[in-house]
Amino acid sequence: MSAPDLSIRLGPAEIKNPVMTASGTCGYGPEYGPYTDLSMLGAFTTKSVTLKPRKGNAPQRIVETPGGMLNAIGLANVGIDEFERVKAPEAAKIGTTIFANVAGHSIQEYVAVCERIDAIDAISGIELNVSCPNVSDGLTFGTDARLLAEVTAECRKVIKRGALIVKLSPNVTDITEMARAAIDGGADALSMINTLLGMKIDINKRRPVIANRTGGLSGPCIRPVAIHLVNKVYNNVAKTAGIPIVGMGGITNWQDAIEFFLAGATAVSVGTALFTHPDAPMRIIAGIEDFLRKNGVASVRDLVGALNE
Amino acid sequence: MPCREHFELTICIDDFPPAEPGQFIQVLCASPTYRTPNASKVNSEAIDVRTADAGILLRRPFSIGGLRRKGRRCEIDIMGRVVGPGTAWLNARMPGDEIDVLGPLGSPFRLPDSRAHALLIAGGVGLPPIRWLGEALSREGIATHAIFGAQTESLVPLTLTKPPTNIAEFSPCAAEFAEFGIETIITTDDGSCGVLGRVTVAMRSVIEQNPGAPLHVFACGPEPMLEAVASLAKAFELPCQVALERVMACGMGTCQSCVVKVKDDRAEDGWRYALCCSEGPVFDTNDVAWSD
Ligand SMILES: Cc1cc2nc3c(=O)[nH]c(=O)nc-3n(C[C@H](O)[C@H](O)[C@H](O)COP(=O)(O)OP(=O)(O)OC[C@H]3O[C@@H](n4cnc5c(N)ncnc54)[C@H](O)[C@@H]3O)c2cc1C
Ligand SMILES: Cc1cc2nc3c(=O)[nH]c(=O)nc-3n(C[C@H](O)[C@H](O)[C@H](O)COP(=O)(O)O)c2cc1C
Ligand code: FES
Repeated sequence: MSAPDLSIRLGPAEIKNPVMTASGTCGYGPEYGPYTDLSMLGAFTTKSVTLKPRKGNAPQRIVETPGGMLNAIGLANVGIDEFERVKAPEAAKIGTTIFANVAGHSIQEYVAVCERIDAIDAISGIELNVSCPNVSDGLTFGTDARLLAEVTAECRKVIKRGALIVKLSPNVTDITEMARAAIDGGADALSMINTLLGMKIDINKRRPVIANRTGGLSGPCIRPVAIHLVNKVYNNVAKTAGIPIVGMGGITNWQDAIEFFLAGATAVSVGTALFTHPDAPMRIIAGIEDFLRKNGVASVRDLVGALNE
Repeated sequence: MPCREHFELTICIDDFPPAEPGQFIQVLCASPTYRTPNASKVNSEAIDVRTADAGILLRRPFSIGGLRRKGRRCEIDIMGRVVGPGTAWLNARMPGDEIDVLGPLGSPFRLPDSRAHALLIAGGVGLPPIRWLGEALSREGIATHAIFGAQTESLVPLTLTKPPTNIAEFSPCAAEFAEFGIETIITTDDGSCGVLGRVTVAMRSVIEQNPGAPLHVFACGPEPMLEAVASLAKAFELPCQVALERVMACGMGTCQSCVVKVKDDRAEDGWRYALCCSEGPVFDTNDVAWSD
């Protein structure tokens, strides 16, 4: 049997394999360079970029919790000027598909950043972060279907070349409504899930451990939630619309990735696991290939939503 | 090491990259579940990264407390005190156990020129990087003295070959420093060992006894101690470098979790956040904005 086909497509972006990095867990590229060969990745997703540089929240910004961690980084990033000048050229050197994650406070801000990023040849697409729980107004776009459709549509107008991926928040009553809004707005793909809001209290100080009070929960503990939400969006919205899903949430090994494919994801992103094992995505790619071969599956695309029900 | 509150481990590893005092390693405080360095050559059973489900998720940062090379083989000393699950796991390691580390990480101490006189100051588990720095300084032929502070005698993780003096006078009392020709003053908050009081009590009298000496201060320990050391160094216009600690996830500049507030003239409001794991952990105290 010939080697299994790992390639996938997210809108106009053709990607050599379905394993990507999750925004905010891999910097802008060079940081993990000494530890792993990032060129093997299907795609690399940058930290969120905003119009102006952001210092982010006061420390303590993270804490480990059972099977996961809370973070409230607060979108600390270099801003679009330095991203254009320094970070994008650095990321381009990785030698794989690069997606830039974009965040903002207003539709105008999202549009301004998207327009400039779409002009950077080295970037193959934009992931709209409408779901960051750690800035005061970050969630409104991700939790209000009308606003989400509007911000997506406005960004779509200026993203002429690259793929437009909308990243959904799990902190909503009905995620399928948000998925529909993003697709109506013109998204090429959906990515999900961003972190779940959480809180941890220091009982001796009687204070939240995270200076921001609340943080976003990530890691293996959110995986069952993510699998369920991916499956729900796939069955109710994405499958009929023909829109691919990038699944994420606690992926640590290839078994987790296969689970996401079966739930309905076309690609997967690895986040928190990178902190412990910068080479986890490479092991996951090898594991997926091996699984396909052993099970006689010709293409990873054949696994998408392939549950026996 | 005589103190039962602390643990000390020597990690043997092949081909560890060049490292310097002040740098640290990220230790996975769980048994490694895979052994295969090259993912493309093995079958899927062996490429299982499942450690994250096993309890402790994130690596824990530890300063390199000493490092010896024998051919390809490198021995790295770490020392710590049990404060939670990660350090408890380390404390329970037996000789021959396998351990997974990443490193070296962070920016090291910058050594002064040979005319300088180094004053090392360590508090509690701030000892490891200071001990290794002492070794490096003595190799460079730089005159070096050390002050070590703890709350009480039972928390002094040093091998005392003779009782330390109870006045601020250096003596070769601590084997860990004496082996490099470095004399030490020990301070304890309750006076149960060495000088009664904080490290700054000894630091002040050393500085006052040696007016005009080209002292360079290097310190590691609890942040309030470092802040006090920094302000005393500033009052006497002495250069001072400190190794800071922050809660870290990645340890290599990707997650932005480990920020330290530093002065920055180019910033509109005069400060910015630096990453403790990559720009630090060693900072020049003139750069650190301690106020909050
Ligand atoms: C660069 C660096 C070097 C370090 N070197 C040493 C060393 O040589 N020896 C040593 O014993 N410890 C060292 N530490 C601290 C050590 O990493 C923590 O004690 C350890 O992570 C605690 O893990 P745990 O699971 O046992 O406890 P946890 O349950 O994770 O934490 C227990 C308590 O310690 C606090 N804590 C956790 N991590 C840190 C941290 N990174 N800095 C400050 N406080 C923390 C927590 O807030 C909590 O109150 C270093 C930290 C850094 C950042
Ligand atoms: C420290 C940290 C920082 C993050 N920063 C961002 C960010 O800037 N933008 C974004 O869209 N998602 C961000 N995320 C969310 C991740 O991209 C991902 O959606 C989430 O962590 C779930 O995946 P995981 O469990 O594999 O980490 C961040 C997550 C972590 C842990
Ligand atoms: S620990 Fe991740 S950036 Fe410093």
